[in-house]
Amino acid sequence: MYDIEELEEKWRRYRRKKLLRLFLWALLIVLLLALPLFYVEVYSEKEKTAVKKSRYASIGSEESISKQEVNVSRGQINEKLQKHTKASPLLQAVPPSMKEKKYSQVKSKRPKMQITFTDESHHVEDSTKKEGAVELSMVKRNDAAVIRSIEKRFPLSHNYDDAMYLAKYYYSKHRYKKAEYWAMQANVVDSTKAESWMLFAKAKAKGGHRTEAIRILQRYYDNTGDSQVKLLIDAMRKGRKF
Amino acid sequence: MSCRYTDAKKAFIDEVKTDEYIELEGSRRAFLQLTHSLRKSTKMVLIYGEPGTGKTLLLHRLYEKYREQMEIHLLDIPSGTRQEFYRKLFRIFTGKEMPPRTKVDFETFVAFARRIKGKRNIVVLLDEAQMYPKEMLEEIRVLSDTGSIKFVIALHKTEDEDLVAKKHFQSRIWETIELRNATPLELNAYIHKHLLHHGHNELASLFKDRHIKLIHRWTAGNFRECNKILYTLFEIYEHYDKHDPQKIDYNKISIKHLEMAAIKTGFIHV
Repeated sequence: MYDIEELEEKWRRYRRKKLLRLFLWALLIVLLLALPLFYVEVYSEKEKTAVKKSRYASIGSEESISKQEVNVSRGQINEKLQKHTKASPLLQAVPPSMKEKKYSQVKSKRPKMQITFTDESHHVEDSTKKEGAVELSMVKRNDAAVIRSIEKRFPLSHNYDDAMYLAKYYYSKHRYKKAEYWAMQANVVDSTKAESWMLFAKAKAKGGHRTEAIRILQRYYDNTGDSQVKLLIDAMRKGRKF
Repeated sequence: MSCRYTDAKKAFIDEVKTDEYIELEGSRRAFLQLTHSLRKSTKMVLIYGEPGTGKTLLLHRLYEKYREQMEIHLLDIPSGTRQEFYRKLFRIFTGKEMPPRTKVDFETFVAFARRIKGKRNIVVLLDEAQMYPKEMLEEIRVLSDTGSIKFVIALHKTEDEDLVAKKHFQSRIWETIELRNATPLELNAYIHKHLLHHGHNELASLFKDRHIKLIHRWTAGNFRECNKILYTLFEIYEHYDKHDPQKIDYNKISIKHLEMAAIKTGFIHV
């Protein structure tokens, strides 16, 4: 055999190709296995970011509260409040120009907030049974099916009342994280309504973030001058029940 | 020790040696079937399979086994011309060489074949039948129709001409035997038996399943191709044994050297 060296060289070349092929296959397999994991990772990261963004956009970020998200001037809000006072018995309980009055006057007429359940309908209804008392009447259908169905339809409906209903429900069940989440969702739908701000702050405070809750409410109060908000801020500051 | 690879190499030289025949399950079955069909009143028997599956060896074995017992003739080299074919036929029929410058026409052979019907039973083993011209195949067909001469025809399976020949004989073929490539198990038996037959017990024991699998993958179980690889493998070992003994381990067959043999014989393209 005279060509043994050439043959050895050919074998070395073959060996290199074989190893390279093996390496590429291994790489391909690893990639194929890693791809779904990577996709899941990226997807969940995106979801987290989206949730964070929406949270900051609506409530979390002070800047966005003051400059962008709220984006409603005091005058506009007062206007809206005046309109709502005419229509809503809940708000009629609170004098419209509360901000102009002295805080001590407001304090004497502090409304009581109650969350009660009725079996009549599952829409949130605001009603005032007696002067100075705020009663939130809510639906109770005894089962979690209603809650689930509302949660399910919310991504399609983006209904403010639905979100608030859920927020109140979870708040009443002492599930403050969920209450926070749904109050925030309601706020995303309509950031001008004090109710969602207040419930969000209350849930936040109950969840152990009282300072942050006060800070958020204070910022809202500075922009709107809402008397109920002021009352709530005071209650929180002085450690009273709210 | 130094000459064992040289001897082993010689064991895998591709030539028909009936005394070195390795009995494998597939070939044993084919041989029995062929023997059985020789006793039947069939006009033609067709043996077909890819090159290197053992058709020629099967015909040789049959010839060796029955040459003393019956009137059997082996035409292992195809006749290029009609005259050459007639010459062979003349010798088969008369047992003598055809005198020079003598011409015999085909009708004479047919008439002779008819005359000996029932008196003689001639068997002609025809190897590489796909190489015969179409006219000669026609004459073979006519001769087999006389009933006094039986043809056992070996054909390649994969080439175009075999299809022509097969089609040509189709109505006259009574028995068909297909020879297939060896399974890994058969190939293992083939290699081991071959080495043992040549007294290389030690070398035979060095061939493990992984070696057989590789050889089978490259050769698809073809005996001729397997012989080529093993011949080259032992040639490589022979070289190292003489010139570079530190490159080989005498106690095992290296995959590297097997791959080198496959590169050399063209089973691995680099």
